[in-house]
Amino acid sequence: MTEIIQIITAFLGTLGFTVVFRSKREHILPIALGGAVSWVAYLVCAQFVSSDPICYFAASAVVGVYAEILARVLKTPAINIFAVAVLPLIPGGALYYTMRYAVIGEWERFLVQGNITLGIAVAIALGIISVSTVIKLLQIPHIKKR
Amino acid sequence: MKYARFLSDTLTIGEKMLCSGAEVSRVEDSIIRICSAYGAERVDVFTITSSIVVSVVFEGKTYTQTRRILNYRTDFDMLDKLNDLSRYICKYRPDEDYIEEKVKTILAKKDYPKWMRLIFWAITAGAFTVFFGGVPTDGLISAVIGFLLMLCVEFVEGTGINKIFSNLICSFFVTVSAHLSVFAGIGISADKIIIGNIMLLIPGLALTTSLRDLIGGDIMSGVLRFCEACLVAIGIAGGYFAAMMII
Repeated sequence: MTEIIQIITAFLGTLGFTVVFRSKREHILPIALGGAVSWVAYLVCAQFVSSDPICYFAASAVVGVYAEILARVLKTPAINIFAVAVLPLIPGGALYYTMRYAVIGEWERFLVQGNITLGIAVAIALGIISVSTVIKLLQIPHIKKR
Repeated sequence: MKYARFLSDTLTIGEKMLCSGAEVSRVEDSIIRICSAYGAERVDVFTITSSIVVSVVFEGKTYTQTRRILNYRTDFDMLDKLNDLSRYICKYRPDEDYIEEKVKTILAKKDYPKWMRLIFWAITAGAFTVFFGGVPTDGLISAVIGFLLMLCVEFVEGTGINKIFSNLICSFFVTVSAHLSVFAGIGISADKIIIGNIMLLIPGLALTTSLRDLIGGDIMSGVLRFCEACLVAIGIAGGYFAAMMII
């Protein structure tokens, strides 16, 4: 049940962000769906893998692929879709608790939480970088042909 | 063809792309492609998050221009339109007048109406509060605060103060109103309400983009964006801290 609520709110949250970041009107629904996809990917991965950063990596790569495919269908830069659809993965909660521990002066917990936050951020970045690198590699023979 | 004017138009396209949220590599790539399409013998572009420098050689003569970028305003619709335009330019090579007019129409495009943005800010805040484990009541309160937060952000940004301070004020506002709602007995978890709203403030996006730039090889931009994200985070933490001191 928690999972279903999370997927729905991930969808709604991404939907809201499309207007915050001024996405094109026709892109709103596909991007919001991407937000739901990102969290579904995370949840599926979390069933099999216990390491959190790896799940975020996988989920980010899934959104990356989703964004690249959609970018070609909608003829728009992939970042338009990825940057918004990835937002449910952004560790807002972890970042908040990191900040909270710093403010109340619990430095040990701050370090632990800060590490978690940074790990997730790096995992997300690596996920999308791997996708875009693979796509660039796939495009090289295509360019050479011309 | 007046190359100086053409280069200036090209730079405007690059500048606006960067402002509306494009990656550094995309901006450089677009400028190189456009200039090459018009027969430039050599194009050198250097872009960081705060400036673009271009040197182009046309018919044996070098043209150099720079742009300083001060304000960012994420606008993916504009980025999409500019990207289309730059593709069109590369394909059909229109003259400067055409490019200038097209750029002008793109820059004059309408934003979403204010009521719509207010509602969607509210939806975002509410949804993320529930997403991070808040109960529905918290979600509703968070949505109301999100609604007010947009007014707060617009007001603070309108005064033109720096980013750290404006985030400090906004985060102060969020923390105080979240705790007030809990004191009033309506809200249940101030933490969850704050998290939902802070998602709208933290450039979690900037942090991820900066790491992308770094890993992708644009080290300068990556470092700059990372520092900016950290400073904004400090601003948010400062506002939170100030609010907690009062409460």
